[in-house]
Amino acid sequence: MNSSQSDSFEVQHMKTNFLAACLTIVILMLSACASVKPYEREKLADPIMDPGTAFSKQSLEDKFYSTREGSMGGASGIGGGCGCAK
Amino acid sequence: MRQITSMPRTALPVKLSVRILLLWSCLCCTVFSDQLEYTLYHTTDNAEVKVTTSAFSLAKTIWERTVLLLDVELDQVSIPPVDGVSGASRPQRNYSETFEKNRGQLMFGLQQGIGGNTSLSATYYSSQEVDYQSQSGAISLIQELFQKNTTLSLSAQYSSDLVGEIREDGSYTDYAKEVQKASFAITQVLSPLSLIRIGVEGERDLGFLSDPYRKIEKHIDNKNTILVTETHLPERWRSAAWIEYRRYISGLDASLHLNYRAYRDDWELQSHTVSVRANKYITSNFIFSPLYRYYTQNGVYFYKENYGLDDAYYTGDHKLQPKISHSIGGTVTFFFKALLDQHPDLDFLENTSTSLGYFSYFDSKNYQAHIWEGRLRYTF
Repeated sequence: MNSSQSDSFEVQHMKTNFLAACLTIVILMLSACASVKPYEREKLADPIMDPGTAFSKQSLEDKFYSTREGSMGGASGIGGGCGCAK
Repeated sequence: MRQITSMPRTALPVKLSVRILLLWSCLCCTVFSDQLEYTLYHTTDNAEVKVTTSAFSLAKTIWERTVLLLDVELDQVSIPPVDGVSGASRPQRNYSETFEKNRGQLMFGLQQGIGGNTSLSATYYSSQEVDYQSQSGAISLIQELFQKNTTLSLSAQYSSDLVGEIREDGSYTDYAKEVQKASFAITQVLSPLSLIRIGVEGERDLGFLSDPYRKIEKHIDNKNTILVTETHLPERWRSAAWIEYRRYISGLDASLHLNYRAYRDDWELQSHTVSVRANKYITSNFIFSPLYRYYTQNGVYFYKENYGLDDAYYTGDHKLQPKISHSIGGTVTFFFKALLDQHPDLDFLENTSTSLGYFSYFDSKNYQAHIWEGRLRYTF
């Protein structure tokens, strides 16, 4: 196995581990949570629990970060183009 | 890679552009509140680049469980004069003058509720500026489970862009670029006071992924260099995973939002993002929301300080270099219902709020930006 094949295998292996960890968390989360009744969700519906309350245009915030940083994901909006200084 | 030569487009004298915004952050809920919103977003940085964005958004129920989503957005960008050799992303033509351009953006979409726990939405998006065009379509499915304690969200997006270059002689060239994206997220209520969201995203970029304006000096020998246009690989696979925890703190009338995101791609860029946002009721109609965000990334594998003739790919893009950044700031939000006791005739403002935010962004490349946001929201 040459160096590039080894690197590729390692990356693939890390991706598999990463996905497995995410799925495990999701499964544990779903199985471990007690059911919260609708009438118990008053606090969850409070404006301060909604990120949009304080910074509604999450897409604009994300667009700014996308002009300065090389990553993506976790964004709240879709779109393309730039409208920026890149 | 498709290359299209055409006449230069004229700068859009668009005072109002139309964009239909899929209010993605609202999609964790199956049902929208009808809402009208105006946002003004202004950024200045220490390179004297200024971007001002005006955005108008509407979410309106048009028939039972059918919601129309509309967003209009205009960016006004001003980039200062540059040297003949520069990493700035702007035409070299008339480089001794400030480069100004507008970007108009239109997005519209429909969301349809199906049964009590499912909704489907589709959006179309288009944006245009003097040297960039983009069109995009997206669909998403939201499914609520377990008495709405769990929400699953699945979405896919396809974008087709034309990256333009205005040359020094005024001629114009377009380069094609595609983006394919998919994401999956799950929101889980943990208790009457807390919930968690987890998501994964994948993206494939194809075509012209460089900046046509960015120039790189390549070393021929110890003394001489030649100037070449930045060249990136024509394909990029990107993936990210994120987790968010929100907690209501009853004793303080406050909430805490914690976020973490991990990112990696096949250009070997990796990043980590952590952010903390708090929201505190100062009075029953006044919220203060401080934020801190930390970001770190390494560089892509072909990034170098100096390039030679043997290098096939070379970049001058600061986004692909190692860096650390910080964002710190805050927002204040005021609900107009506070005025109703003294001015009952203003009852039409009962569901109206306004907010003002300021953030400072700075990174290890000595870049600093100031970001202002003002917003007026009417819910009906």
